[in-house]
Amino acid sequence: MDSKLLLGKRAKMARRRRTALGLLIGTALLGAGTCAQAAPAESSEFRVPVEYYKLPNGLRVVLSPNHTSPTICVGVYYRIGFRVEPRDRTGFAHLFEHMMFQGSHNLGKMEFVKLVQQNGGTLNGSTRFDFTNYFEILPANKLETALWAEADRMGGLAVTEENLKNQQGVVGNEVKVNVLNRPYGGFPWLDMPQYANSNWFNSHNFYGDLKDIDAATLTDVQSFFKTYYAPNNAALAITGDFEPAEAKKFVEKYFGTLKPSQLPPQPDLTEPRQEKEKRASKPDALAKRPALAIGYHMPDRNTPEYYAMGLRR
Amino acid sequence: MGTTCQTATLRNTTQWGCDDSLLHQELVERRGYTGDVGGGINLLGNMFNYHGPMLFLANLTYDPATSSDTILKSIDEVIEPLRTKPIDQKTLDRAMVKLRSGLYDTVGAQGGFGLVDLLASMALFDDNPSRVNSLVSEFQKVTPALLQKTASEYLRPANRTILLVQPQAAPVAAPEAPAQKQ
Repeated sequence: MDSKLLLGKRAKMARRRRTALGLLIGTALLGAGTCAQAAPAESSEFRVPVEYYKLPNGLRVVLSPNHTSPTICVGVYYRIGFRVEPRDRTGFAHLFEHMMFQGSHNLGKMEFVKLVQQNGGTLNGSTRFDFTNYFEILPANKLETALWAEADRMGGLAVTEENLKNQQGVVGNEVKVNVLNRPYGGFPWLDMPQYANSNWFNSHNFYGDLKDIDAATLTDVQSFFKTYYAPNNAALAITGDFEPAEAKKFVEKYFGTLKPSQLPPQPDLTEPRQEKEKRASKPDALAKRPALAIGYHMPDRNTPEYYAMGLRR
Repeated sequence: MGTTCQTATLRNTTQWGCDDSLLHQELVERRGYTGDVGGGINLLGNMFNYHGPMLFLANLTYDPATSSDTILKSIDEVIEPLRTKPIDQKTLDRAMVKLRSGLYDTVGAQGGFGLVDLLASMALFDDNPSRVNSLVSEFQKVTPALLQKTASEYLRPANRTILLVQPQAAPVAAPEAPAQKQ
């Protein structure tokens, strides 16, 4: 599901990743300097600087400066994950993620990637349960470049029928490489939600049926973009070596003019309390040894029980 | 495994599979049924960057000579005591150390992206990215009694799904007969 696996040039970055899916967070250690710097001298409590505000168009902006190294990281998160993609378009949220690299008002196909890489940076995008994200890490003096580019594609895509067809092929190949033609493909991350959950939003094939992926049209792409890729459905977070006052000016300059969308209500994602153990079996023609996964429904987020489960070992 | 385990709670990795985890101890070290136990909360992220229902997973591959029922019996021998007895404070304290270590690791990960991920997720889902600074105190409220109560409800057998992958070699196609020479 991760873009590093998806696109031609971006796929090269995938080699740096430790696993095929999901490891958004790498192993590099910045050290405790960041937090120690922000923490009260007498406390060992975890604390990082956080400045949070919203633009009039609804964009949520989070600033967390840290001058440990001369780099910045910019992340744009859209509240549209694979859970809530259209029912007859499984895999669409992920397919759409690809389209965000196919061109915008001022950047041609794949020029976003070139812009970041030629300025010494790295980037990625991912589709997850409840969001699709895009981020880039750049030298600190390129903060304005990153914000300009992210705002440019939030402001409008310039996708074509040809680009869509091309990316449908890329995504289809990704499904084949990561799931269909791989031993234990999709086990357990893609499989288990389909067996354990009963609400369609939580239990459909997030990677998508190949026929659904192929059925997507340019109109679908444009409609999806217009609905979900709007400032009032997004959060922009900036960390690293920057001055908040300057960052705010850039954010206002590039994102401030973007128009909000009319967002549909969030679907009901709730699952009923499970009252009976479920068992399922999946034949795998490529696997050499049996495998077993066991999945328990989690407590609701941010409850005392949720934190307790987080400490379970 | 060291670094992975320190960040277990915060990442999509092996909360169950850390060398000192109960399942690892039972299934890898004691029984030798498998070489690794994977899993955790939200395999495509971590326990903070999702919004809807989520699963707490463990997974492993094992030798065909061992039955799935045997594996499950051992898992139950680990899980059931958690539901009926409180853990000791020392074990809880150690989990907290790992939690805090993982949080620092996450914040510094990948050129600041780890922190971006937490802040953006909490802005989107909670409208409160400052929540990142109260995470440790929320975990510190967890007591052995709360752990037991939580396990009693959420680690009960009726709350789980078991998925087995069965190797099933595709039939080998018979070689085509050579064309008859005319």
